Amino acid sequence: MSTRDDGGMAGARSSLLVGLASHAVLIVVSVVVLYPVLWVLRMALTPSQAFASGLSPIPTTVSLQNFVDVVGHHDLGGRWIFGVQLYNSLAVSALSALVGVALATTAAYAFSRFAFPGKRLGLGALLLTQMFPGTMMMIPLYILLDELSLLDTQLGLALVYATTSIPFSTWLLKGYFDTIPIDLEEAARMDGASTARIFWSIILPLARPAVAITFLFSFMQAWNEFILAAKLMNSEASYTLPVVLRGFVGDKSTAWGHFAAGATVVSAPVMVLFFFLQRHLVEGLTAGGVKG
Amino acid sequence: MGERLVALVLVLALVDAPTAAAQEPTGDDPRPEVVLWHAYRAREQEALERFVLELNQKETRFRVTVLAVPYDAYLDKITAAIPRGRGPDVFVAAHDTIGDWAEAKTIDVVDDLLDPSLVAQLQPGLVAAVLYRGHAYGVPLAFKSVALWRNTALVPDAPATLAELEAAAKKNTGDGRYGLVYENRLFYFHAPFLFGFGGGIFDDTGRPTLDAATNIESVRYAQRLARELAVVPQETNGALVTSLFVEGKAAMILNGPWALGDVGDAVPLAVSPLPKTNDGRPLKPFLSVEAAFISGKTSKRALAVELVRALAGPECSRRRLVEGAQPVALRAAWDDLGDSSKDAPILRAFLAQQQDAIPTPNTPAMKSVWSPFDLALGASLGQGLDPAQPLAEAQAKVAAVVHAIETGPQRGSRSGFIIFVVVTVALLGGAVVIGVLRYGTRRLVRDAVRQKAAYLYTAPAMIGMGLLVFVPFAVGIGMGFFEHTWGSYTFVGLENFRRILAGGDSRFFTTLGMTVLWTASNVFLHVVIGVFLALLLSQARLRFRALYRVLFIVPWAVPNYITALIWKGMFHPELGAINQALGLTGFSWMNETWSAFLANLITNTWLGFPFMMVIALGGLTSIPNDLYEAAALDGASAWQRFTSITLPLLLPTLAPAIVLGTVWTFNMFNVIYLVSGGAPQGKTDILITEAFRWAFERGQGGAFGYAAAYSALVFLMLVGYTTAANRVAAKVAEVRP
Amino acid sequence: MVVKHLDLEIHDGELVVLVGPSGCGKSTTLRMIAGLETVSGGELLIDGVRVNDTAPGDRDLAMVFQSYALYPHMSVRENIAFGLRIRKLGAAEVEARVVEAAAALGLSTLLERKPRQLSGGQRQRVAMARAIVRRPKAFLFDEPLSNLDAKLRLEVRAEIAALRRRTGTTTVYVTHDQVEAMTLADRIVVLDGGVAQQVGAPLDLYRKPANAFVATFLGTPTMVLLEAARAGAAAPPGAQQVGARPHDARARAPAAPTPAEAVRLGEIDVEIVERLGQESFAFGRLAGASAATARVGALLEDDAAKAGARLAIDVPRDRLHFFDAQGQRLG
Repeated sequence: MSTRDDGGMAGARSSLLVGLASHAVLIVVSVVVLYPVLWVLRMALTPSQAFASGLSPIPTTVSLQNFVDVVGHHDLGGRWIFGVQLYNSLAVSALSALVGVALATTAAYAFSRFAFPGKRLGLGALLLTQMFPGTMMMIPLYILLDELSLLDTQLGLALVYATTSIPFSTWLLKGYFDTIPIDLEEAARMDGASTARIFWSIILPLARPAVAITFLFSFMQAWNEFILAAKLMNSEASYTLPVVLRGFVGDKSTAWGHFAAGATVVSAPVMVLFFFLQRHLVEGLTAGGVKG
Repeated sequence: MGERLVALVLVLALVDAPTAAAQEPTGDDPRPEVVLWHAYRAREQEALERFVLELNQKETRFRVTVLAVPYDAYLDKITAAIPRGRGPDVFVAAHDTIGDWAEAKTIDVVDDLLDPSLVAQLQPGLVAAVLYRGHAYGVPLAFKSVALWRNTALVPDAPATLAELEAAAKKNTGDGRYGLVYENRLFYFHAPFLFGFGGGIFDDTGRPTLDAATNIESVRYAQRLARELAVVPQETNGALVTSLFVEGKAAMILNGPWALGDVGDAVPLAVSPLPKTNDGRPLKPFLSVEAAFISGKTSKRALAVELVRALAGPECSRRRLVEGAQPVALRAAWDDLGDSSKDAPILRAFLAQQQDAIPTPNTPAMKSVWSPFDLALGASLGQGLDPAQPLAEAQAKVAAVVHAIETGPQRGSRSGFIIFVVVTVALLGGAVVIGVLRYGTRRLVRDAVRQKAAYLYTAPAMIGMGLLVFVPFAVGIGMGFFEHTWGSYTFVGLENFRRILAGGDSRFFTTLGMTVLWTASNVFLHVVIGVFLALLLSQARLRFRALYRVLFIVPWAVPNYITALIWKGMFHPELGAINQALGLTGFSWMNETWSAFLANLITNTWLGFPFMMVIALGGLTSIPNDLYEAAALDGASAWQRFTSITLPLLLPTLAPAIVLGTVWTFNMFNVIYLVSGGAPQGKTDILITEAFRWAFERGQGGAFGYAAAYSALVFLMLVGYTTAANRVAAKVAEVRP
Repeated sequence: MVVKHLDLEIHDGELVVLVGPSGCGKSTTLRMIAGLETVSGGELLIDGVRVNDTAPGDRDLAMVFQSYALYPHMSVRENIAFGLRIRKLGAAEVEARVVEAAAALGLSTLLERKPRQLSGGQRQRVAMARAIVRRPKAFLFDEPLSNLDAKLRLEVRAEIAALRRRTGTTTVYVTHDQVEAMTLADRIVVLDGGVAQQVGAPLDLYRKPANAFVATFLGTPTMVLLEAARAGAAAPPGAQQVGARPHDARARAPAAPTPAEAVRLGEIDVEIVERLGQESFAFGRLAGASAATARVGALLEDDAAKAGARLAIDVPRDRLHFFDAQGQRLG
């Protein structure tokens, strides 16, 4: 990313002051940002199921018991059910991200490069989906999936996630594709490349930051979702981790220790992905922002 | 290319693999499968599932497949699954939804099963809970109510009367400690006082009596505890009740047996039945009877009956009582409890309390009582209003619902429905024809043929979305023209919309106002904070830039339903970190509209600024450095450079993100629902949470039609907004260099 | 940009330059030849075969883009090899051809670099290597030198000329720069407003421009057009305008006599004197003309003349160009 000098502000002293003030603000923001997250960690590490109170996010007694309970959970048949559910989460999220990104990249490519009847209608429809209040779609969706024999299947769940992630993904990717010079494609056409070949060998590699970010968002959306998963999946062996996490929240009581440990386990992979992809984040997102 | 394809194929092949493996052992089992659902967790879940495991080993006629569903999703899932024949054959749930389920035929009558011999084996007083319109609909398995828990180090003897309770509570209040802690703003926990003071909910004819003098008196007593004596903390939730007790900061709590697993051995404790009023009447909590229900759609009723018998039988009851610490319905099981376990005296206390507990009414009207009564309690205890007024409001709301139920569903109109379908089809068809004509038919065909690759590329996404997004959405919106009553839909035309916009529902416009305020202030803060931080982070010589950037996107990466719950805890008046840090201890954020709104706003600002920051960071990189140099040479100050260069050149980048952010915030359900929950009195609810409440907390088995009409209006408003905003954005974009 | 009317036959091995001001349709013409733009009317033939509906990749043409259009994610080697790979040539063949093309353009040591690690001139050469490696029926160049600095431009121009000589491949070259056009072309097509104004060998166009547009477009300093009356009796009937290239005109003292074969167009008050070393030009408006008329330029006979001097302009009769009311050449 390019950087800017505060040129003209003159003087090492004033720039030192600006630097100090900047750091002061940024450190305060860091504390505010991290504080609630540290609370989750505190409850996860405290060997109790009670909600922690007080000011300090540092646990007084530390134990990994909550993590052991959550991660080491076996069902009564002696199967390591947490492992199965972790696998479900990974499989469903990965599949939905793959399908979602695959469909979104092709659609975004067409929206970016072709002028075809229905283009504006299609783009408008993508934006419309962002305004649907999800609550009312639940019952029809349930019936639909049942009719398609996709209820209680990971494929069905992944497809629902994939289709709901397509609009935002397409929006991001189209914006990025718009910034790739058309010359490159024309050069490839002169070289004899087919549209499919151009898409695969030229556009996709060049759009890698945007594709990576799109993948991250699609994955994250599926990875964190629990309302649909709890409703559509009908066996513990097909639950995803967020459903298990919500299971710690009861009618009148909540196992906060387990919930927090589960939350930590669920959030960790996404945090790691974010960490690795954060360089692309600005680039991948902004192209979409610039071009709308 | 090859590698990626292989990876995709691998993932596709692996999906469903473990599920298949899991079902393998039962794959060739000749016994028919009976499906059992429940929402238990922890010890209760384990006890029940252990029993089922053993049952499967010796039962020859059937095998049981058991599923634990998260409580949040449980009732919803049952309501959706059973009518489709995809639900369980038997499920366990509390009895208070029986009315709705019986009306919708979700559950079957079990008069045959609940015969006098079985009734005689159960604790007296439980069967009444599962009767609806003269029929039994479920078999009681267990019961739950609150009782008085006390820290025996602080309160050695159980208080027998309210006077003794007050004395013990006063002694243990002060220095961040409270004598008595219970969720006093929830009707469920207030009920013991209501019934103890001789109050009630419905009269004999089923009409609500929420504003009866005795009820008012009971709320005044709750005010005395919370405000006058101040032995009860301002605001609590289930988690805080337990954690205060565990930390020794609460001498006594009102809580149910469900807290057993969470309390642990941190403090010495005892449980006893609730005390009596000073004139000798017992406080009577709500009694919740957990019963086994047989699905109205089961094809294996005979086997389901056998399973229910087994669940209610001695072996299962013993396990649930001894291993699951569940107060069970079967009297004989209690003989096996013994005295060795530390749970035993606690469970016996709940057994004793059951004698003086009142089963929650199981009529459909009851569902509409909770929320209005909670609001009345909030107004009385939080704002200190005299209870008469809030209770009168609650009475009016519930009376309206009861009246609607009594008058039955609106008359459907077949011809109206046909006209509706014709008009809809005509409008859609007309739009298509106009679109085609405006484009020009010949040009359309020519361009479409020429660009056929474009359709090939967009088709998979559009077909997928059409099927799984647009169809459910269209059906969802279509429901706005119907009225839903217990699983059946009646066409009512525009009636729902009329009632929302022009009818008695004055809530719509105030809620809309709140929604607009909520959206505008959030988006404003997201943009201001996002741009400000982006400016700081784009300084060339700033150290640790990458580190800050990673830290600042953390709120984005953690699921918001987790962090929203944490923020709610941090806003607690006494225990929350925010009040402790600001020295505001005791200030209740949820008492006033502005402060509850502020709590929501702070939470959502925390959640939302990273997106705008990242967008702004990207926008800043695209502004050429020489513009700043030129401006500096022109003698522009830093502020002038910001307003005359940065801002106008950043706007084109930000504009689409602002539009999108607005749409998202307008429909931001989780934060409102989890942080303020609409408090106080639903005043901080936004349209989307209000629609949710109509769908799931009101009406006859869910006012889906009304909620759908709400959603349709939300949708229309957002379409209008984005259309206008995109026009503005297009103008803004012309500034772009 | 619309190409309205263009009738052009390009011969084997010929280098044709399309030149014209921006917006004249020259790039569109090139892109139509390439197949990147559809031809809405008329026919496009390559080797006698109609290719209007043939995909660009199947026309066997190679194009060098103004932006070079190098694939940023591929190395120089991959960039050059891409077209061959698409055509499914064997690996050994691809390698041999890439090495040969790279050697021809002095890129042998740069094969593993990515485009962003190259200088502008190197990128340009990669773009050309990518074109020659295909051994196409024809090369298409779209303003290939416009992104280079003046010195590099000369070098690369020479390289293009050499390359063409070596391979003998038919080439269509688009530029807005008439010097490039004059130096490179076998034939020049001058385009304006989507219409070919004149087609021919560079010197023919220079010497006998078919109309006023071509006359003023080619040659620096630019030819000046004056009302035909200035040429007096030399003007043929129907002539509306007379033009003279500054190189052909002589600025001398008004007192000096006009040579027999020349025509005196008038006298100027010198406003600017440009001394280019070998030669010097004087520019100024003709006496009696309004300030709005163009400056007349002429070679200075007396190098000592300064701005402010009054000089007479003489042009040899056979170097005058006459145009009718429609701007068409007379004679």
